[in-house]
Amino acid sequence: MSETDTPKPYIEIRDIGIAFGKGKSRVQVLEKVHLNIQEGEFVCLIGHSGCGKSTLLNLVAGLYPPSAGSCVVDGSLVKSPGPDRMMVFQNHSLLPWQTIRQNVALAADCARPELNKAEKAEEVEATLEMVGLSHAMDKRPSEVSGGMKQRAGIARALITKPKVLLMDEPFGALDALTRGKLQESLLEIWERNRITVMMVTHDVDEAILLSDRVVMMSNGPKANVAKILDVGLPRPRSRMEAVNHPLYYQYRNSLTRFLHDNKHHHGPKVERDPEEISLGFIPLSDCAPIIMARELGLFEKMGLKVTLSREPTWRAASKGLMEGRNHASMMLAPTPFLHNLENPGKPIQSSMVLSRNGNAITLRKNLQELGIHDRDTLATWIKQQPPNKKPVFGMVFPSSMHNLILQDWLRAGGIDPDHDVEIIVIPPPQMVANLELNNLVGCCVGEPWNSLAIQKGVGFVPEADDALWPSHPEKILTFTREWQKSNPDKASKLTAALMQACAYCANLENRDHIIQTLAQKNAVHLPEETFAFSMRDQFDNGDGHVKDLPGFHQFFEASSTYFHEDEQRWISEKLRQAGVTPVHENFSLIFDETTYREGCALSGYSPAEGPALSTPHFSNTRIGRLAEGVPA
Amino acid sequence: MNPLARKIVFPIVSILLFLMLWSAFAASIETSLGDFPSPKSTWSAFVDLKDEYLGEKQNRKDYEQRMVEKETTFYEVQERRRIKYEERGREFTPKTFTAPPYAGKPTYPEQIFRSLKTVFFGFLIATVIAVPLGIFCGMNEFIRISMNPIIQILKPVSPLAWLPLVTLVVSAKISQDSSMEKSFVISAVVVALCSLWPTLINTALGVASVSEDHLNVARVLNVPQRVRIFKIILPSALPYIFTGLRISLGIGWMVLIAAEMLAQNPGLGKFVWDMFQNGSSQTLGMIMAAVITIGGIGYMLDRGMQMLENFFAYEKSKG
Repeated sequence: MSETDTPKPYIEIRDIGIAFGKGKSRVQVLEKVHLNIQEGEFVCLIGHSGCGKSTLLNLVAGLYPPSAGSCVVDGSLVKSPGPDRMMVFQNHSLLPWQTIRQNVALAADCARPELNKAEKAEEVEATLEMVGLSHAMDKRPSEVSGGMKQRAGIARALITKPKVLLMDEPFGALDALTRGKLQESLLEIWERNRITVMMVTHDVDEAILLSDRVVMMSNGPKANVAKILDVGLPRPRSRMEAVNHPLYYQYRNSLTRFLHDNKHHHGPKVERDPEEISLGFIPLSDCAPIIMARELGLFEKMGLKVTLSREPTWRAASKGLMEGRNHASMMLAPTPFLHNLENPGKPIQSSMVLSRNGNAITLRKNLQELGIHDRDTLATWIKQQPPNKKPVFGMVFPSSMHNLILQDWLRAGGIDPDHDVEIIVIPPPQMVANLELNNLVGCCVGEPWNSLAIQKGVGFVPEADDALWPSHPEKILTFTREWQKSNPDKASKLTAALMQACAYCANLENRDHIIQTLAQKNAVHLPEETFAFSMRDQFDNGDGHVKDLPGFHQFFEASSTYFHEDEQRWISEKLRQAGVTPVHENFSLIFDETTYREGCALSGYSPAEGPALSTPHFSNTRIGRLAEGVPA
Repeated sequence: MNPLARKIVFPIVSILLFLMLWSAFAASIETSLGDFPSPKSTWSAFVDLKDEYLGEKQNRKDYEQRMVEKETTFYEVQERRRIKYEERGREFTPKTFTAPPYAGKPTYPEQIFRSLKTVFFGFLIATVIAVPLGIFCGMNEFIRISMNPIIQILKPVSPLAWLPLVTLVVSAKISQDSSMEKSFVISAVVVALCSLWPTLINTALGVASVSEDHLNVARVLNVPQRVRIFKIILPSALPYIFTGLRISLGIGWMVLIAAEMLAQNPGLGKFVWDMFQNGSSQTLGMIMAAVITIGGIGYMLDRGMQMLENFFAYEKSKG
């Protein structure tokens, strides 16, 4: 690496663009792609098929000329292909009529004219030995396995001593085991030579394991660099160390989420009935009101036609609202505050609280062996950890109650969430697996995931939600202001139907019915026993005792559907404290009082009056002081 | 199915059935030269040809024996004359004995050999022209498009249409005392003209369908053109080329018989023609024997080429 402050990039891709075809069928595959790569850097290109990753690689190789822009490698403009930018092709592309040795020798003949015959032969053997093929040099490609062919392809590329190694999904066609072995070999070889590598891949894990930076490409046509992830895993790397590194899952999640969010929606768009309302939900215990409203036909009774759309992540749920795929959606109570700051042109509002409580902090079961069974023992242990090995906690989304609760809970135990620990985002369904892999010390997540962790014997609950922030708003019903303005009637009726459903859910006598319904395939689709305790307001802490926790899930108790202004302030303040939203931003209310009141009128319940239902538990925080009327 | 039955029993049964049908029909067809040859008379024609060959071989042996005797006598006479000359003091210039060439007619195996020589010579000319031309066509789309109409027009032309032209051109170009006989060159050229097309088309196809990946490898490595053709393009196109060569040789063999008939090249074609012209009672049997010989050799040539073709196709499919 250069000593100067801004090292000159080794590869400069300057506003490169390429289009194929002519006239109407002309497709702009890449447009204004800009990317700089330093010498000795390992960069992976990731993106969906057809996003032009391979095309970009071929442009650097010089296999076709760009329609716009240029590419400079080591100070010289790329005009034609050359062995200084050697390629490893996806399907190895070895010449089948030559032995592996001859294939590699052909490359040496062309790219290394300075070597004499004996030196060349020696170099060929050395290179083949390096990739682990000394025993198969004189075999034809047809006589060796797919992995060995790819090794030969790599040897053929390495012998040319390229400035840049371009790899086009080199391991894409191999089975997982072989792929793993080859990735490790490639790491080893790269460590020895430290050549600059650009590699196209589909495989998220491969990208994290190998690269210094992962370049995420947006979908074509007109594809571009969407995001770049810096992979800070220490080198030299090995798979086991990488996978067990606390940052690994964070990287993995951001890549997976990127790929997921950029998924193509293939097929013709279905014409929707203009009267139909699409309501998004996330499969969790507290989606019960939505599922029960469908089950009980409450939407129909209000004269609504509602279809439910199961969303995989919270991000997908808010995206669904933004793109108009869903008209209304279940949402984490704090999310709209952040959303409205980021999208002031398309604000989201809420007309009711769907559920309160329902969260728990789960710690890894094997911490008990270290004598940790409550917050105080945990705090002592955390303080003993070396500063470079911060314990990692998981939560589901930055703008979630889980994040706020977790931070508050840690703070209350004297643990500084910003310095003593690391908090990372992991989608709820992956939480248990991460506990199991010892990647997390603990997590804050909604039901049924705590129960699942306990039932699998990987977690225990030191403190259930009840003690955290009693009766905090958890999930809310949201829609865009735009939609509410043009469909005020539908918004009120939807609110009314869900209020009736909440009332049904609140009755403990109905909980068996709810458990059965939630377990079904079109709802949460988990075994009934996973919901059984928490839905019966009981909680198995993982220490063998089942505690009664009245009001663990609150759906409709004492004006619980009302999102009080004070509660909104608290959440907003907590978001700022947690660093999710900027400190100086102005706070704006998200609760749509008018729709709430109309909903109450339609469903026959009286609207809430008086002070807020919930107050935060920890009064020694800035928020607590705020709640008590002390100026911050 | 039992492989033995498949490979031996069924073909034998079908051949026997064919022979029976042939005998039955042969008896009922009368021609101006007698009955249509039955399998039996064809067989006896083969036996006659063998006897004739053996007889001719004996004749040649006798001739050579006579020539050896003649040579001995010649030198004895010359020696006596030399002594006489020296006695008289006259100068003597010795002469060497040259035996007149054997003037017997060519035997059947010689004719077969002549045909094979002609067809392979023609085939060689065709290959030497068609393969490089095919490579050019395959590598360059412009050449391919330009050549296509010419190839399509010339491809279906019958050997009989070429023959007069070829005869005139060859006669004009080859002088009487050339080491090659005119009839041989004419037949070979006609064979070449008619048989080069499948090789040309297949070579072009093979070269044009070289894997894009292999070409990209060549481009990235800046492989020199010569190496590119000989190490990448040709090996990759070999199976196609061999398919073309096999079809070409088959066509060449068919064309050869007609060419030899008209060009009077002393091979199997001329044999058939001569038999037809001499009109003896044996004629039809002899012609039938020639027909079977032509078929048999054609079959063997095809099998040989097929083996080569499979070998290269297999080599490639393995990779």
